[in-house]
Amino acid sequence: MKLWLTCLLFACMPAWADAPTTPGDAAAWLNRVAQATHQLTYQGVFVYQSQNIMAISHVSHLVDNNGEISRLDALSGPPHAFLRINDSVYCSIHNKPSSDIGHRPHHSFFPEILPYPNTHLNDYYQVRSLGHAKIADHDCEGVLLIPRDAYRYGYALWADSTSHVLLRLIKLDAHGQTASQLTFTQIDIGHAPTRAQLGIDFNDKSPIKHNGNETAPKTVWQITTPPPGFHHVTETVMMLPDHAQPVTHLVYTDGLATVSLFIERQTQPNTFHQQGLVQHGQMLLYTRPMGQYQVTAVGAVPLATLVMMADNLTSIERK
Amino acid sequence: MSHLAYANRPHQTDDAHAHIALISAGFDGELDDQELLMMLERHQSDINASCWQTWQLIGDTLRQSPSTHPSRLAQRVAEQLKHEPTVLAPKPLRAMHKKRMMSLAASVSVVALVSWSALHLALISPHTTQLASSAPASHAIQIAQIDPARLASFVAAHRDFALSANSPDTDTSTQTTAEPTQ
Repeated sequence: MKLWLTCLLFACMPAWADAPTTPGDAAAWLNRVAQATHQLTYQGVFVYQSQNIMAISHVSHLVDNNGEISRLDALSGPPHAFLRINDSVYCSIHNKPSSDIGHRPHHSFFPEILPYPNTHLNDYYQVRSLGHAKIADHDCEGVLLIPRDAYRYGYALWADSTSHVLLRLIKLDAHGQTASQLTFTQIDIGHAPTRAQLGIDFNDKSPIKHNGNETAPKTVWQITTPPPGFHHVTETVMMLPDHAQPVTHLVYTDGLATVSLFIERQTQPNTFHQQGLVQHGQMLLYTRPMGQYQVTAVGAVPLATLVMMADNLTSIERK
Repeated sequence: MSHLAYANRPHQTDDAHAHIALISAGFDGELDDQELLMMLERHQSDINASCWQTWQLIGDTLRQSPSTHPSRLAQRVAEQLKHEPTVLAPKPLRAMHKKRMMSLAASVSVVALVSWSALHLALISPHTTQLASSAPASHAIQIAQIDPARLASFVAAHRDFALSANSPDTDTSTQTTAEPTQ
């Protein structure tokens, strides 16, 4: 009997070895993490680290009968805070009498970064378990998201094994090395300030509204063949600093990787009519002329992704 | 071995090793005549012709001296084999099965470990390869010159929707200076 048990143990070794690398249902796990991170109440301190940049923030996330409310306070650098109430995002700058308001349905604070309610990340990333680790004194389960193609980079996610709230996100670069990470150093799951406490700094400020979509764009922009998994998120027309003309801002994402396309009309010939690549930290910018417009694609993604998007951009003039 | 040593040697009739060592010492000439006689009297029943031959052969071999008694090794081995019973019955099933299964288990474990490692490499390597080849167009694309202020505004606007949008290094000045779209 002992012999057979020994043989069984040996025979089961592949299953043991394989278990940490093949979660039973990766899609279900990712959805569970996304749901918990959006629907549970918590507050904590997290650290953002990227190359030589490190900063600390405090985030509070409250879910009650009125919906979601999140607040992000910068604990390092210039004092400022973000407040998101459902789809509206406010930014409060210390010593400024006004607060910036933006209607950004896809703007979320860490750790609310996974698509919700449904994520299809496992269609574009292989999911491999990283086992368990302790983060902010919580036992966490980690997964590695390995891109299935060359249009995105990888990620490592760690979520609390009990509540499934996301506690760490590591973004990998082209070499599979850590490019940046967001990780909680302390978190209290189940507790957060009241709604009134979260908005206390914003009540006495007059909002400045921008990024609105009140005027329908005269031109409809679309990417005929986006990279697999990338879908259109939003389109806004805005004024950016140091830009003479309104800029159309298209946002595409696969759920984690995000690409922006900025389209601006040239007011004068050869003002910025050029084609090429610029690297800004982890960001890549690919710009090219398109008729009377200049298109600039921005994102921390492979260059092939930016080129494919910018080169496949088409426009339809509305009558 | 001196007489004193022999006399003081613990008489371990139950100790086979001491028993044999004493007899061996006698054949090696380490005992004087009196000691040898005492040993022969005490252990006569233990000594037979076969033992004499064996010990003498060992002694001659160690001393590298011609044996006064031909060992007839080949002959004796042949005779020993002739007297060995021919084992036709299989070994006990349990033992043989155990050996086979342990070998099989060991093989399975080795294959498992190799497969597991290969699986890991196979999963990681394509990723690395893909990433390494993810910028095929870079050789054909030139470096562009974008005004730093314009570049910063693009990056700041993009961060509003990217993962780093809520990171503390977000350029908040962009958001405060933005004007309503006309």
